[in-house]
Amino acid sequence: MCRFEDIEVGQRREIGSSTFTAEAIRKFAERFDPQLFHLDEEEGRKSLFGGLAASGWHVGSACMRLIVEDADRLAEEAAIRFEEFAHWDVSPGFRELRWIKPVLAGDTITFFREVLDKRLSMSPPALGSLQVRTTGINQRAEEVFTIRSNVSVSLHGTGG
Amino acid sequence: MSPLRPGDALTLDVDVIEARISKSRPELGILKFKCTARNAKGEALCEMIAPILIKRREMGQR
Repeated sequence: MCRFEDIEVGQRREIGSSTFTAEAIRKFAERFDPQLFHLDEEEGRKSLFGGLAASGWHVGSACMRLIVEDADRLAEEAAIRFEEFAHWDVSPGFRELRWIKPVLAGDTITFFREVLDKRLSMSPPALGSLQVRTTGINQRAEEVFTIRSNVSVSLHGTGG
Repeated sequence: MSPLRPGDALTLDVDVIEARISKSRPELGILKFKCTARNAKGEALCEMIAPILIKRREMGQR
């Protein structure tokens, strides 16, 4: 997946895993989503989640970090082969962010990214545009998180 | 939409755009709301339409 031209619709890639400890769940929630069921074990148990649950924004943020690290890895691998690499650029937004099941303290979520569609945008600057679905699966193979995002990709790789 | 710049102060508008009872779990209501974050100039930086689950008043309770 080096240049826009090389990206194939249907490509699916594992981008990494993240474990949500009780401490990390509370820390994130204190800062960005201080609802009781994200802060307190007992309140989590009493809630619809049935346990201390990570904020959905925490899950999305952890996923974002893995996406960036994965892109850095791909760029490094491309550089070693003296190949061009088109970094994913800014995103105008997303659709269908779903928190399908709660992410509970101790869960490990593995994220996968699948290219659903690609097209060229001709309005300057010329960019490629990708529609991507990212999915998070827990250690029990249950889908817990999906998001469908649009991403811009520069048409000419850097380096090489 | 406009990017968020250092120093920006945000205002969040929340509109309820739909309220209904969950078909699969009638003890719960589903609210759909639209959030818009704006900077001091009133420019929208992000919009979100999202449903939330909310408990209903229990049967027989007023």
